[in-house]
Amino acid sequence: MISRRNFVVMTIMMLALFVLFQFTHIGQEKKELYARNLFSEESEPQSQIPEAQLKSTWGKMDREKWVFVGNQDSKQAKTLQNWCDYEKKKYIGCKTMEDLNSIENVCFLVVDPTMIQTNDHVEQIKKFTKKGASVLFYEIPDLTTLRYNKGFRNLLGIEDIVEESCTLEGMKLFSGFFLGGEAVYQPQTPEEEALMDLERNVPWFSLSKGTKVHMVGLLPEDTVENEKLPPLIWRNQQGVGFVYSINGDYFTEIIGLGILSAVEADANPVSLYPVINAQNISVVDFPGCADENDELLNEYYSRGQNAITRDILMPSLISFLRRGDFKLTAFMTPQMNYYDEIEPEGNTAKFIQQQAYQNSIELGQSYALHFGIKLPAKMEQDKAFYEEYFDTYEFAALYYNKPMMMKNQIQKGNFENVDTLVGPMDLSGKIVYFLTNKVTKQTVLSDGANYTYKSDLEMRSIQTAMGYSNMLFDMGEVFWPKEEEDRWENLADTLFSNAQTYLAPFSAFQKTTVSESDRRVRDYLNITYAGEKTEDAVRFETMGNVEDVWFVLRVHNQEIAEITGGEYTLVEKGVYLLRVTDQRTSVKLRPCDENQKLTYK
Amino acid sequence: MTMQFYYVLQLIGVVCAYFGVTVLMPGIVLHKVLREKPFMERMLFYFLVGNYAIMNVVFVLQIFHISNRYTLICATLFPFLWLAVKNNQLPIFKWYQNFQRAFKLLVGKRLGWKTLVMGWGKRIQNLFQKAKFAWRKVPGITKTELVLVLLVIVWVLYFYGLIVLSTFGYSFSDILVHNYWVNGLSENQLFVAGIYPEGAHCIFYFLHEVFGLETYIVLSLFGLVQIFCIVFSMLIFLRSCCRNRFLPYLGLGIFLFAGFFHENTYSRYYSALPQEYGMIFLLPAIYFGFCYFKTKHHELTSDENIPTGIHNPAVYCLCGFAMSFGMTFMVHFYNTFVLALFCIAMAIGYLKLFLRKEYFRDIVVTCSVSLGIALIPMVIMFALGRPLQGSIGWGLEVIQESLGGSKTQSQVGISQYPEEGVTGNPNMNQMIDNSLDSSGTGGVSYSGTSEIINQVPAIPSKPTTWSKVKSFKNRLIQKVAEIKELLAQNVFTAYAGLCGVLLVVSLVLLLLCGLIQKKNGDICYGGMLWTMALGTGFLFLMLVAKVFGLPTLMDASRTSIYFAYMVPVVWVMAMDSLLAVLLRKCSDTMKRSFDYLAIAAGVTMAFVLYNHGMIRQNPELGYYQTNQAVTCLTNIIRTQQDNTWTIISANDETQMGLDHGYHYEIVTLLNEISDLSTCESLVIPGKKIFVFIEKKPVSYDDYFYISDYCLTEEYASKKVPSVNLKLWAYKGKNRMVCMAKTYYWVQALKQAYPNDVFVYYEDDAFICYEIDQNEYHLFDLAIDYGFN
Repeated sequence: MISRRNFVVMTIMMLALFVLFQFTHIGQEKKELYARNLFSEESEPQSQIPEAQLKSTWGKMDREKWVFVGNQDSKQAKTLQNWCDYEKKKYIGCKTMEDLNSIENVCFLVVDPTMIQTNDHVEQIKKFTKKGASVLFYEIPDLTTLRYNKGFRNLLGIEDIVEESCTLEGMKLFSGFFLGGEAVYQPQTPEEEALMDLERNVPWFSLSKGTKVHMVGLLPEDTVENEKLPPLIWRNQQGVGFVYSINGDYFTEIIGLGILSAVEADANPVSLYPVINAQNISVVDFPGCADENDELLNEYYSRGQNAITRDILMPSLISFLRRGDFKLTAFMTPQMNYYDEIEPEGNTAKFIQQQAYQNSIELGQSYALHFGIKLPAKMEQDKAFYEEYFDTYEFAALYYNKPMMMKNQIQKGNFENVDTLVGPMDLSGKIVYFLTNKVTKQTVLSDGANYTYKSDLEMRSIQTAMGYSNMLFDMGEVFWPKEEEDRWENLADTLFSNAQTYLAPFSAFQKTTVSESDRRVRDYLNITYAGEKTEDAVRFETMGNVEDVWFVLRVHNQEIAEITGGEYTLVEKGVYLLRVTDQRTSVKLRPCDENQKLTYK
Repeated sequence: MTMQFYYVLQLIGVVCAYFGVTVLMPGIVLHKVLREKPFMERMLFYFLVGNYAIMNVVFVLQIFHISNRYTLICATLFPFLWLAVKNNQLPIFKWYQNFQRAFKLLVGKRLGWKTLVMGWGKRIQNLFQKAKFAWRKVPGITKTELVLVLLVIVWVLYFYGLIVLSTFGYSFSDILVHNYWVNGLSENQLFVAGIYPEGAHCIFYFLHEVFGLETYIVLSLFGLVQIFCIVFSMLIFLRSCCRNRFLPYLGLGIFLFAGFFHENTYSRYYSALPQEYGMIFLLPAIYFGFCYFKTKHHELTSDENIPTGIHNPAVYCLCGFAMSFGMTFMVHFYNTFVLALFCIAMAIGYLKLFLRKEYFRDIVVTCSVSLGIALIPMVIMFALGRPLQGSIGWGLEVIQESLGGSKTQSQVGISQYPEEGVTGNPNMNQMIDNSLDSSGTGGVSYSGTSEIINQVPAIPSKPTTWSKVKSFKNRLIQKVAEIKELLAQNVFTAYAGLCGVLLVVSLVLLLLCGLIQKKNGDICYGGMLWTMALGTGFLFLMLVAKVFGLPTLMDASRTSIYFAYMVPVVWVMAMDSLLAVLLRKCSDTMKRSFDYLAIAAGVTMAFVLYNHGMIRQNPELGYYQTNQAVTCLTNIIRTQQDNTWTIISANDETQMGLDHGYHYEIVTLLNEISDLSTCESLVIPGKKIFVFIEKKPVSYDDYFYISDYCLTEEYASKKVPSVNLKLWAYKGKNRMVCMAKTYYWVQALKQAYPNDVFVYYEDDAFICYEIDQNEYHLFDLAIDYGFN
């Protein structure tokens, strides 16, 4: 038996607990805190400082000259142009080798090997390398030319052609070239064969002395010594500079960017360039708000789409977020099929917003077009839904899958209220850029469900060049599965393991939502910088908004001794991520001569 | 941390490890058994037991190929624990019961943690108190002696320690070979280069394997430990044999301070050489021999109830003798030769006792058992197919030749002169000549000078007595002059004649005093004096064997080391024996005053030596590695992952870093890449390659630098020394050529791989480059560097 006094005390305690536990939730409900986009902020418009105005108190800022020799309309030329824009280098195009003679102080040459016709051209290249310039041949020249032109072979560091074409079992990328360490692309099982989408038939060269190989092809085991394997990316020392050669179709719009950053870092003792520092995961067509495809979904999951979202997908994604410390941007769509007479329900809207708020998920709008709907029609249909159920939520990001349609809408002045559009690669070939003065475009770079070896190489390239990634989780397949394998259990395994595995080497870069990434993209595109580099110090001045500006500093075997005007974190050996906190940043490295790593002296 | 400080710490580690195993552990086991013995003798016995046990444990495990850290620890620790418990009657079972009871109380919460810990604390405190009292009870050492001992320690640390601690590498060429043999033990390859006494190597290997001390550091530092042991061995011997308390310190002073000894007689003490290590056991063997005769004589002549078996004092002495004698054989034969001379002297000195069956049986059995145990490992390995090591064969050859009196002329150890100009230290150019004697005695020559003794045959007419005497006188004068010259060349740098005379006087004194003591009834003391006199005399004869046309069992330069060791002992014992005779009937006070007279004599001697500039100076020692090379090697071993690096150098990192990495000879590399048309490629596996380049090259095995700077194009353009030149490729100008070429080769590599080649360490005389390569795709090092 308890006394009355005890009974009263216990009742008061229970009431107090009840209030404490429920108060926060009730308060949240009352204030509707979840009904706002926490990630949306005022964004900087496009504002790049013209080159003529570039000045620094540390001296005139001449941008490094990167020259493309070849067809200026080729995708390789465009790749170099894009890269120069990102890295704030000066792009110079030369249609012929003769045009090169008029250019002074060249830092790097990217040459179409078909331009090298005679020994005079070879000597011309050598003159540049003697002055300290490096050269990149983005593909191997014609083998007949190579066979008969010994000078060209010597320039590339090729001693002999072992085979005109050999079939590779795989490829191995050595660490130190791209960020992310070593990578082996070699299918071990029949299932993994589907991942191999890199070029397998390449010529096989034996290289001369003084070359350094960054990527090799793999042949059946124990047949060839490691040093004799077919080289795919290598470097030959020539004069003071280096000559890089790519054997294979690797110099694409995406991989080419990484190659250019990598060769620049490899050729110099110290390399500094800006990066975005944003790792995004874009979940598309999720959440949905209509109970579509009910019959099939009930067969697979015993419930409708909204229930699947609430009971299966959302908890699963939240668990993934917390495990890997990721951030998601969920591009929701009220419905996918506008012809099935099923309307979206607003009762899940509140739940969606609450979950997004509690788990730091940003909501965006998906304009991925399915079942033949046109963009204007979808826009009109979705507008009412958003106005009714998401009236206070500021959508700052949109996703689309038809670039041409989106371009038309933008030209008409639509989507001016959003900050950033996310979509597949378009004709510009750019990863990130200002679509309009106020709106940026961020390209989805990889599909989490279909991650191949090429995807991985592209991921490493863009991480190397820009410190950026945008991985797509397309949830449309879950709500409209075509086969048994499209069930969420299978897809989740693939998506989550791909994300965790392939993003893990780049954990030094921050995970962001698309809006957070957008602000960094703007600063990345707007800023410009210049300074000076010596073997033991780097100092540079950044012009533009330095709030969200990052640089990568690659110093090979040195370490940062001291930094002013910024902070740094280690990405991997010899690679640092600098955050600029002041217009002027100065980094002191441990000088090479004094780098005595002796414990006992 | 500086390397010197690191070496000091390592030295402390070596000292603690060595004495912990060889003194402390036997002490714990035997202190109750030997508590009646004098303190210094006990310490000596523990030391002998410890060394003997370690050597035999290692031999046994090596023969069965099961020697590693764990088996060594088990083989040492378990017998130690068992014997410690048994001999000290430790109540282990009672302790276990106490522990069980305490645990139950603790678990049942009837005993608190605090109470338990405080109880333990009190017990530990009591132990410390007991130890403190025990230390105060150390008998036989006065404060004055303590001060003298400290002075000795300080001097040894100053004279030997400074050099040992400031020369990080080896100071003798032999050490490299010993390093190789110790490494052989690490791989369970006993007698890896052939049958040879490896007792000392067992000790080095034990310290390395059990305590994790690097072999090259043990070999660099153990010389200092060794010299301490040699000095204290002499001190304990003299202190135990002499009746004067402080005369032993005078002997030590002469041995340590006197500058009139040739540097050849003490330069080897800087290194951890087995011969010098074996010297530690010489005087203890002699001492225990004396002990045996004394105790046995007492046993047979007194009516006391002497215990039998292991507790019998005579048996204890025989054990001490057996261990010492066995260890001289296990460590180095030369020590056994010298000890054998003293054993013969002992047999003569104690002849009356020796010939009695009680003594004779004991001695023969002891010597046989001792020798037998020492020989067993060698016999087993010989039976298993291991050949004799080269120098044993050579030694036997030399002995055979000297005994057989051959007239052959042989040259041993001739070094081939290289093509380019060579600057060599004359000490390196050792040639052995057989000098021809017209009398047909076929004397064997010694290193140093080569003398041809011409004897003009006598005119065939009957000699008169007077001419015979005159001829004898002339021959005697000549012999004396030769002896003096030999002593001057090998033993005494100054006052050779005076020292020789002093020696002779000492020997005569010892004989006379010995005779007097025997007449006075003290057979054992007399025998001791005669043993020392005769033994030293035999040693002297061995030193001057060539002069008298006797067989040379040992090189004069080696004999002189033992001789210089024994001379102070003999001088001191002669003085002591004289005092013992003169003061026999004096009071104790008078005797004690003469004790202090010895200190006065010592001070006077030091003053005289100082005034005449006869205080010992540090000798010139050979260079085998630069300090910087050893510094880099130490850092590489400590900081880099094992088996992922290779050092390219002109030094001996092959054996020094064998447990951790690889080595590539500079001369091999340069020869391989000298003709690129024949060299398809040259790869060296491993993540890192370190290249040691001397800007200021040393001359291998010499004590000087060849030049101030050699990394010039002039030397790089010269021809690469041939690999067939062996060590000569690293001497003189050849070394300069190697260094210059390597430097330019690295510069060419740096140009091709600027981000992969960088400086690891650099100062005015030395530079070490580090080359980082992709282990999966190694650099082709056969590049054109312009001076191929």
